[in-house]
Amino acid sequence: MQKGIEEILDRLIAEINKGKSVEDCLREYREYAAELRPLLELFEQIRGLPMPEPDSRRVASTQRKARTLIEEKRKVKSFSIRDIFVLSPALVRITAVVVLVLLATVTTVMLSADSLPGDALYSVKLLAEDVQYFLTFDAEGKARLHLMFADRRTNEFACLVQPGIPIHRDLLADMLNETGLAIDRIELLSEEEAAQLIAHAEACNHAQLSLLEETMEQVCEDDRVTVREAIETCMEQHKCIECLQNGNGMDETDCPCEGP
Amino acid sequence: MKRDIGRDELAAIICQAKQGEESALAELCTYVYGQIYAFLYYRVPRPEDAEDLTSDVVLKIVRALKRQRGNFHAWIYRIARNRLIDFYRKRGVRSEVSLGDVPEKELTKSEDISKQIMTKEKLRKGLQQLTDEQRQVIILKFVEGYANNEVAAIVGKSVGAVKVLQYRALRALREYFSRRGYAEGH
Repeated sequence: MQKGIEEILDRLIAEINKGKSVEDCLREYREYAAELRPLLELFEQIRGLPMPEPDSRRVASTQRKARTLIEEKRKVKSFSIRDIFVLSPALVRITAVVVLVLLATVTTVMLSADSLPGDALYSVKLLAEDVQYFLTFDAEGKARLHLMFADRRTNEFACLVQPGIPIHRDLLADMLNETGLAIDRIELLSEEEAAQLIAHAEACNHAQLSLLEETMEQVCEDDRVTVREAIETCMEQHKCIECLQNGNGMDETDCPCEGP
Repeated sequence: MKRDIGRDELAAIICQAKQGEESALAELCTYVYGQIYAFLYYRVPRPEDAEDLTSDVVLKIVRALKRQRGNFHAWIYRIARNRLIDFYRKRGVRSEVSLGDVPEKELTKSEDISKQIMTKEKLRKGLQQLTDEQRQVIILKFVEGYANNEVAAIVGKSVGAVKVLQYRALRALREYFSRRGYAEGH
C-alpha cells in the first residue's frame, strides 16, 4: 500500500513536470487524493522557487583561480621516471618482463644451491658456477672459485656415497680436478696472495682424502680401483701443496702433479 | 531550468578540460559552480557560506579532474558533501540543523503565515528537518532537476529507494510546515 503511494507520487510528479495540473493528476487517484494533494502542492511550490544563482563575480574569480592552478601545475610538473612509463606502455611491459626474468633466474639459482647430481636443478647450479667463473677476471679470484667448487663437489660426493651403491665417477673426477686446477692457479700467485689459499687447498685436500679413505670401506669391488687411484691423486696433490707451502714452487721434475 | 548542457556535450567538455583546454575548463567551472552552489545553498546558513564552499569544491574538482573516473556527477557531489561535512565539523556542529538561525517570527504559527508563499529561506529551514539522504533527494530532484536514475547514482541508492526517500521527505516537510503554520495553501 505504502509502496504504491510512493510510486504514484513519483508518477504524478513526473506528470506535473510535463505540464499537467495537480487536480488533473489526482482525478486518476481519487482514493489517495487527500494524502497526495498537499505533497504535490508542496512539490509545485518548491519547483517554483528560482534556482539559487551564484554571484557571477565569484564564479569568474573561481575560474581565474582554476586557470592559475592549472598553469602552476604545468610549470611545477617536472620530468619523472613515472612519466616515462605513462608515455611508453611498451617500456613498462619490457621492464616488467626483465624484472620477472631476473627474479625467476635468481630464485632458480638459489633453489639449485643444494641440488645433487641427478637432480633437475643440478645443471643450473653448474651453469651458475660457469657464469661466476666467466665473470671473474683475476687469478686469485679464479683460484678461490676452484677451491669453492672443489669443496662443493666434495660435499656432493659425501652425500651420494652409500654402501653397495656404485660411486658417481664423474663427480669424483670433478672433485679432484677442481683441486688440481686450484693448485695450478695458486702457483701463479705471489707469496702473500697464495698463503691463505694454500691453507684452504690443504684443508680441502685433507677432507677429500679422509672422505675417499672412508669410501674405500663401503664401495663395491668394481669401484675400489677407481677410489684407490683417486686416493693416490689426492696424495700427489698433497705433495704439490707441500711444495707450495715450503715456498719452493713447483717445477716439472719436483711436482708429481705434472707427471714424468 | 537547471542544467542547460546535454549529456554528450558535458562528456566532451570534461574530456577537453582533462586535456587542459582552457575554454573547456572555464565552461566546466561555470557549470559545476552552478550545480554545486544550488546543492550547498540550502544546506548552509548563509548564501556567502555557499559561495565560499562552492569555490573550494570547484578548485578541488579542477585539481583532481585528471584522476576522475566513473559517474562525474556522483563524483562532484561526493566532493561537495565531504566539504560540507568538514564545514560543519570545523564549526563544532554535528548536523546541519540549526534552529537558532530561524527568526522568531517565522516559528510563530499564525493565519497570515499560512497564506505566505514558499521562499528559499523557508525551504532551507524545512530541509534542516530532514535526514541527509532525504535532503539530497529533494535538492537534487526538485531544485536541480535531476532524473530519478541520476539522483540514485549520486546518492548511491536504487531508484526505488529514491522514490521512498522522496515520499518521506515531502511528508516530513509538509508536517514541518503545517506545524509552523505554513500550510500547503497560499
